[in-house]
Amino acid sequence: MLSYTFIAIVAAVLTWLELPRMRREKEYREIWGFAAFMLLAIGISVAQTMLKEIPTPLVFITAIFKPFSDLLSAVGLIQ
Amino acid sequence: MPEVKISLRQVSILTAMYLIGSAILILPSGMASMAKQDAWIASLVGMGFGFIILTVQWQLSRKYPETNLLCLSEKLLGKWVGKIVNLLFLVTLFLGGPAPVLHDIGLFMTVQMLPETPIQAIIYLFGLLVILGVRLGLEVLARSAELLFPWFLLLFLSMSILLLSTIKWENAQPILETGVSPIIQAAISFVSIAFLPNIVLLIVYPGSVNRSEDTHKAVYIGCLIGGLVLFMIIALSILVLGPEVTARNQYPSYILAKNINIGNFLQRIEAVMAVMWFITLFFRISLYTYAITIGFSQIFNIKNYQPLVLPIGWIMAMVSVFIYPNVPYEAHFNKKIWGPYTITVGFLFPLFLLCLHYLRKKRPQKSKKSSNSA
Repeated sequence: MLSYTFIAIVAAVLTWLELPRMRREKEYREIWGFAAFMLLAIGISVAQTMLKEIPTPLVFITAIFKPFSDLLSAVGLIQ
Repeated sequence: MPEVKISLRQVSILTAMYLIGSAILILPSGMASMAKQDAWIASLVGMGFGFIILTVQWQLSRKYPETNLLCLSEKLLGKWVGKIVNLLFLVTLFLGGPAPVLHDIGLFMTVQMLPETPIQAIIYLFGLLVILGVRLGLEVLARSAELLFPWFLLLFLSMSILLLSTIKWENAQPILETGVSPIIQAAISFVSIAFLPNIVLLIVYPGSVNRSEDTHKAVYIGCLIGGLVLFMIIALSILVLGPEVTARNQYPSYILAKNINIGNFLQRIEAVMAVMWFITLFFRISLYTYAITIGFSQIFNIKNYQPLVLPIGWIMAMVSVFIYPNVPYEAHFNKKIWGPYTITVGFLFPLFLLCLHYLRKKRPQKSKKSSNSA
């Protein structure tokens, strides 16, 4: 429970730091971008608190570059 | 977005700091495990490769000065294809670039200096510092690089000079025992960690240097300085520790600093030397994050990148805690996947765009438009 409160506090503080200035200067695209990344950040933080073992996102890069890696090691350019 | 202008001297210094970055910590071990006592030759070969790659990257940039890589790929690939390619590039760069480097500094601290501190504490504190730097902008980063570079040089040179008495030349013999193939492998590992990620600089520099026609020269000078520093670190680890000890340790340059011993009086100064890689790693993570943030703001047509820094920095700090589940995974990733990935984005991608540029020039209808804008 403590970590959820902490996430909420961090999110509130960051919004409080950024939002008033963006609203004053009427930067609406910026507000949308900020909100989208903020939601992503909150989502990742909550997921990390809920799941003990979270799979690393590097598996995607590994999956995409595995064939190229195999090719290079067959040629002998990487180990 | 505030107008940013940095000088050529600052470009050189930032490039050198970015290049040295995390390589000074993790490079000697991997290279010594591949090329054994010839790792120093491999680093020279790697510098040769590296300058070829730099030429390709900056040749592309000089065709379109003042246009950064992401605008350029939108221009050459078309708007929507370009945007999708840019998005994939930035997301993979985010997962492969700043987050692992931030993890590296946390791992280094928890393994070597503060074993009982949780890794999150170090990652969050260092991440906060990076967010602060990126939020304040490139100009502030460049000036702080200018301020910290003499300190870095002082530490680096004093470490090299203090180690001179412990050098054993037998460690480098026999030369070329392992043959050519391991040297090429080690050179490619050198290039993939030190030179290929310089593609990030093509996002950062165009449009923000006061004499943009000479940017590439400043970058070459910076890369030369950085490459020489890395060469000296690798050569010193081989000569002082020997290839086996270098390959077995996770952070040979830290063990190197532990070996300083002048008359049993000046010793155990490794914690002071560790300041050296805090400085370079800070600039590495900051430039990565800066490039990714301005990249995302360009994709979504956001004029001011600053509001995005805080959430992206938060995501970075969160992701870097679980980016590597364990140390063997990190070694495997660096050895097998990071090389092909950086070859793709750092060499094949700009080469592809360069070919596209020449093709567009040859085609009659579109040639007027593209040559005018060039």
